Amino acid sequence: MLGIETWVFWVATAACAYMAWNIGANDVANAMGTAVGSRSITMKQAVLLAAVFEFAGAFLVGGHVTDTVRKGIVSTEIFQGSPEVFVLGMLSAMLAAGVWLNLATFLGLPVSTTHSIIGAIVGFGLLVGGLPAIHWVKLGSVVMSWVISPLCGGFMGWIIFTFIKRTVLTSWNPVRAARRIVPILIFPVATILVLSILYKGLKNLKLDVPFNQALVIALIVGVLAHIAMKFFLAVKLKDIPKKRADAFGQVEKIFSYLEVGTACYIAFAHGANDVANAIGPFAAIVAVFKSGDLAMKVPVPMWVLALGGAGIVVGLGTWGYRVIETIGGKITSITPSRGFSAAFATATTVLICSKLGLPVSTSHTLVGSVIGVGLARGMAALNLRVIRSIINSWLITIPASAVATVLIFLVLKTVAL
Amino acid sequence: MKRTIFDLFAKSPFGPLQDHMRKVMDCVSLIPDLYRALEEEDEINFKRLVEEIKEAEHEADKIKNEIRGDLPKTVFTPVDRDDLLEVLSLQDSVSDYAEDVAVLLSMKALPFPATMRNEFWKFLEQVMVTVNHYAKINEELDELMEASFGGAEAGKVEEMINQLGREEHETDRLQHELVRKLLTMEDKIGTLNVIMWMKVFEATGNLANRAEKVGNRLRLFLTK
Repeated sequence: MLGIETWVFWVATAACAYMAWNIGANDVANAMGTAVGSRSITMKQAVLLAAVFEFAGAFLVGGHVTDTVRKGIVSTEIFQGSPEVFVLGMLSAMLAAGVWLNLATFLGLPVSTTHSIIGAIVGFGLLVGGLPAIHWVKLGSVVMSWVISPLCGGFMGWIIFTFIKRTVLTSWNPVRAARRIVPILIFPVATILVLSILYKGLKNLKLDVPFNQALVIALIVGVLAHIAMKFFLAVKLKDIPKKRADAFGQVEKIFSYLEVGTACYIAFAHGANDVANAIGPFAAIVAVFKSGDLAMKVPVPMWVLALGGAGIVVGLGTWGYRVIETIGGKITSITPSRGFSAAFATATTVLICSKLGLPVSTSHTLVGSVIGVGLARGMAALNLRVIRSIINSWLITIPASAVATVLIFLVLKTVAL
Repeated sequence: MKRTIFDLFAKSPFGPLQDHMRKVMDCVSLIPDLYRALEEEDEINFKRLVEEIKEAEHEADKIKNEIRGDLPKTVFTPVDRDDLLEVLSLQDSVSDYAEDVAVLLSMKALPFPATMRNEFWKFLEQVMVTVNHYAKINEELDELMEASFGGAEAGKVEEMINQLGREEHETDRLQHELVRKLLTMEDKIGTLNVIMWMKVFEATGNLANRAEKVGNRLRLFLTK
């Protein structure tokens, strides 16, 4: 059995890396897309920033305690006494989700890595434990969140852009208005960023900060950012251009800083949240090997987080950068004020949802936010057909990765047990 | 090629709408030269200009068709899609009338009567002022998009459209004066030529009419 165990362990390591690679290849571009599309940063800068912030997010914050069976969708009792079935099941889930993501990329379906791994685990749970093994209410709330998160993103995007429009873009003197409003905007941006990093993460680095303390620090950073921005703009926007066209150029330049900052935050948050899709099942396998027992929650060793983070960066370097290139060559109609509105709406929505324990898709929330900005008359042209292909991918991903998991599990069982 | 959620972003119609109007202006701005060549009986230049006008009109048509192709019903724009297509089609009709003028003038040898010289050039200048004024409004489209079609920028464009109406009204007045003059010349230039000139004036005046109409359609883009 030791031989088999070693063998399973290495296959699981490879499967985890494969899944992380897929996340890097598929999803990473989403954080940087709007910033590249509005020409706030070059593609090279985007790839570099994405790599740094995705890795940092995955390594520093990524699932310090990863739910063994994602978000308690499948009950673990059914595996008590047969940890080897559980190990093979998790392995199958990783492989199936990875293969499905690869296939979906090939077919051009905008699928979510989060949805793939949930589908895979549901498939495995159904095979082993039947219908009662699935916590249907929990699964229902997860599916609901897929509908709700784009709607929330849309609502936030609409509000943020309408605010910028009312206060800056439609004013008689946009530059003077920006000098007043942007420092006000930077306050919630900085506060929310710092709060989420301090409170959600860094436990890994043994820097456990209680919420009250984190909130105070975040507010202080927010105020400091506000003051710094005020001084920066006072120097930067000394002379106010006569022509409105030049004024808009200056205003958009200011928003491009905000936009890049928010994009880095999305990359960070994405690394933190989505790395769990790759390393969650793997960490569970490692824990079983270590203790021979099953646990609902398992601590993740640092090297596993590093593996996940590295996998994402390699995925970004081999495939993801091409996606960024495609995007960069395409979107020219988006400007930094719009990109910022959509990105900030997405970041906030994803943060709130993950606080509520709902695994939402960053990409789909971003789609909702962009449409929200569009409804506030911010986008030059949106192709709404994409919504249909996203809904199609929702409907197909869960059964597809579930079936793939079952098939892979049956094969592995005959080979290994 | 890999598809992503960023397929959500369709091609903006506003930049191409400006390209289209610039092409229309390439075409229309040849009209005064054409009349000058006619007046000076410079046949070589006249023929060249007719061809150039036809060519520019064709180019504008091509841009128009491209924009229409990029705007299927599933594309969501910040202004009503029908208004957008109507603005495009009205802009295009300006170059259509420029081509009409060129074609009418080359149908038969039409001598330029020196007696209507003053009235004619005053009229044509006002036509060009009107069309140019709309072209300037069109050049505001990118700033309008940036300001999301509201606020101070919309106010500025609204005032420009009001001014466009006054310019067009002046064009009408000068056209009536010119026609009155023409009708006194029947004995000198013959009935057929009077009819031809009437048609030419009508097509020329339509350049301004259409410019005014498209401006008013563009008014629907603005947020009140």
